[in-house]
Amino acid sequence: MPTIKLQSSDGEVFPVDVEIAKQSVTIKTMLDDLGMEDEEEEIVPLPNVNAAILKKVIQWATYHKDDPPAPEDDENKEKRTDDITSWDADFLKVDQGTLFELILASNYLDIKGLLDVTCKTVANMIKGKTPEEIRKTFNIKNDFTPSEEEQVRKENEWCEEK
Amino acid sequence: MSLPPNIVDFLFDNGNFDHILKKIFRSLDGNSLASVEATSRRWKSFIRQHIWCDATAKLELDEAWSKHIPTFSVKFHRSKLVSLACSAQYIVGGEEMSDGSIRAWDITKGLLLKTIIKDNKEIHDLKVKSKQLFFTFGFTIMVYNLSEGPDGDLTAVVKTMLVGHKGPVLSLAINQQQTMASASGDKTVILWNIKQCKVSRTLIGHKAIVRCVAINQDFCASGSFDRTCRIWSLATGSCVREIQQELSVRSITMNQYRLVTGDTGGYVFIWSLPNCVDDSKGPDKLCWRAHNAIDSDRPMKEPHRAVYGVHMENGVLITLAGQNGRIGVQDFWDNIGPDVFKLESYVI
Repeated sequence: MPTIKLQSSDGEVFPVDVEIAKQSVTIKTMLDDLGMEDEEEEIVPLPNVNAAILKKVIQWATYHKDDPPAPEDDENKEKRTDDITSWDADFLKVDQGTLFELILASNYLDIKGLLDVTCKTVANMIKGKTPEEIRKTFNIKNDFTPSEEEQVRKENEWCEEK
Repeated sequence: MSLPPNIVDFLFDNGNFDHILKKIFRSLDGNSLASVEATSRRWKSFIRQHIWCDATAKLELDEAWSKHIPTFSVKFHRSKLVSLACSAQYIVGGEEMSDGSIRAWDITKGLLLKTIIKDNKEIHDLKVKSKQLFFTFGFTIMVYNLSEGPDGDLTAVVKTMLVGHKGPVLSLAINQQQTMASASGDKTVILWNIKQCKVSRTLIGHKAIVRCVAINQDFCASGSFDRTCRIWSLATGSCVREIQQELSVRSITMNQYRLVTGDTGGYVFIWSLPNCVDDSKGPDKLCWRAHNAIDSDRPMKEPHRAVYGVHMENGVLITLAGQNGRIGVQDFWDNIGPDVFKLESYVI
């Protein structure tokens, strides 16, 4: 199996199977554009991803290497957040900071599957919570005046379940 | 990299990550989005701007909305059901194609009370108001008096016929002040005083047939195949808002707060009426939400599958859509009348 070397922002180099690395559209495009040959000992610098996160990303990509390509977002597709596999759920049992860095890394590397599952995880952190619980979870400052808060509540009354 | 106070705020600050925020928020259900809105000003304005007012987002929200979308639905006509009217006691439905009939059902038991008209091929709409049945009949409108016998049987007797339109009458609406609006293929809407059975005003402006009409105390709203919905002031007869739509407007209803329109692609739109009649509000402030009335699992427009009717009663939205006369009942408003939910006992 041909491999390439990915270099994290803090200088650590990870040899990775080319097919696994190509799950990242960013890396795939880079390899295609540069016409990098398998035998060349090129190092691909990834200045936006640190070693700890890159390690996680490679772990994810390795596990998902045989997945069919993620379908394009289309209007037919169901938007669900309860279809996270147990492996992914375990993989994403991380602190908010790490989860957040994984979102940014999958966005930068353009790995749709990982971006989808991390965004779903954030959505699940919001789902079913009261405004106060959401504020707590995400450390949000409530900057509404009492009357504004009442106004928002009123406007959304039709959402509330009976 | 130092971590921001919270991850979502960082995404807001950066400005390049709107697509990630949308991805997160669009997979939320309505209740969660409402909670998100209520957390802070910044989250609220993002949800307002990018989720509620974004047409693409609205389509994607369909899945998330599913628990608000049809509580139940029944197929009960053998052919295309084109019109529906409700009163406290019964639902009256009119059919167009096969046997062209008007039938009345008991609203609580779901039992067929009476077949009022049969073999009438020209019924486009009907309304029930103060024990009177109004239905379209070619270029005219027929008025029947309804009365109930002691053992619950229903009788219907012709009262009068309203003449004024120069094209087929397609839709009717009546308000509490006994003003009736009728929409017609002659591109006009006529306002009638139904006590005196006289024309009170003709509303001119649509560029194609006016397919549907709604009325409340102050305004009349009309939907046309010119792909617009117009809101008219009853006091002056002038058009106070023209809403451009993607497809022809097939059905419409309104109360004091909301305007609901159904299009020829199976979609139902819910508009804020106060914003629609306030000319300082831009077009992005008008629509509350939209969803597919035919199949809430299919968040896309379906050509030739129109929403034939929308109706609000006791805070419940009833939609009538699709080839098979599907009735959807949605409960996302207040004051749910217990009777309405017995609709599920419908059998024909």
